[in-house]
Amino acid sequence: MQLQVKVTAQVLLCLVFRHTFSAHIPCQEPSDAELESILNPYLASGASLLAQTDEVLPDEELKACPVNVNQTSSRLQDKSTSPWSYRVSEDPNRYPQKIVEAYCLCKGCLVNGQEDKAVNSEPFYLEVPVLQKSNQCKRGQYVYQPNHLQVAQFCFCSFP
Amino acid sequence: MKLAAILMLQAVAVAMAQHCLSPSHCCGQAEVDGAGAQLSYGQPRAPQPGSCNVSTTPGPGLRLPGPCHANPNGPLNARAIAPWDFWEDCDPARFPQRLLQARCRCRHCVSLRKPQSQDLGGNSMPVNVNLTVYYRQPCPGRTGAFYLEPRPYQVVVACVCLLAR
Repeated sequence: MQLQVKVTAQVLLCLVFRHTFSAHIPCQEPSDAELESILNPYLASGASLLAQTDEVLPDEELKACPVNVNQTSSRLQDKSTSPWSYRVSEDPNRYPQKIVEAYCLCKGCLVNGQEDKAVNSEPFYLEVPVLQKSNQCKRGQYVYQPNHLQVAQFCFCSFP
Repeated sequence: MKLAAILMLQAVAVAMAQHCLSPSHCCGQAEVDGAGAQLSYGQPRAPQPGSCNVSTTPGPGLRLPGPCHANPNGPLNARAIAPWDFWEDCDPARFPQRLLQARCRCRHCVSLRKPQSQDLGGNSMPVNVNLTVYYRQPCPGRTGAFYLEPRPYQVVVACVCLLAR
């Protein structure tokens, strides 16, 4: 009986030890530099999608549908019958956490000085390489896996 | 000591991600082809995966525009008011080997009321993006060894309708 208690106590102690010292080692986030070096081979220097160029400034406040097309602008996004702008999409479980994407300013298209809802402004998507955070923990760090994300680049006008 | 071991293991993991991607990480042909197929991304890809044996460029046969009209019940490229067609851009030394390039079907945009005729108030404009593609390069001084070189590659992905001045 005494031996049984002793063995049970030892097993319990062992379990408590394991619980405290192994299962609870917190998993760390890899540094941005490490994540960047994993993602880098997927991006050639000089490669740029429309929403991923340096000149793009995302809106903090979303714009409304303009009254008419801005014909004096030099930018495709203002002169288009389906005008668009850019905003930031954020996901803490992804690298990069912030990605710039296009959004359509109008539901319809701007023709003959007004918004015509017989046609639609539709976003055009391209695949962008990203790293997706997994629940897996390897060598004390979260595992990030390469993935492709569909990101809106511009808008085009189409029949519904 | 433990930290040094962790840092070393991380360096190994990063090196594996860059496998076949530089002259200092050379691979055999089959391995480099596998890595190229894995790395290839970007739209629009050819609908059927596969390889091509002959390079195709936008020659006269590929540039001929189709009739200028939209098909409201058709796929995305035909439903657009600045509709476009595709030609297959093929290069056996590149990953992806087959890419779809868009070509505007019309000089102007199609009329909203009559999708079979043009509205001169708009102009079809091609939209270019620079995708990342990979080229198989021989490793200097090593026969039968290759690496993949990432390079930007301009692809016309679609057309948009701009209001004519």
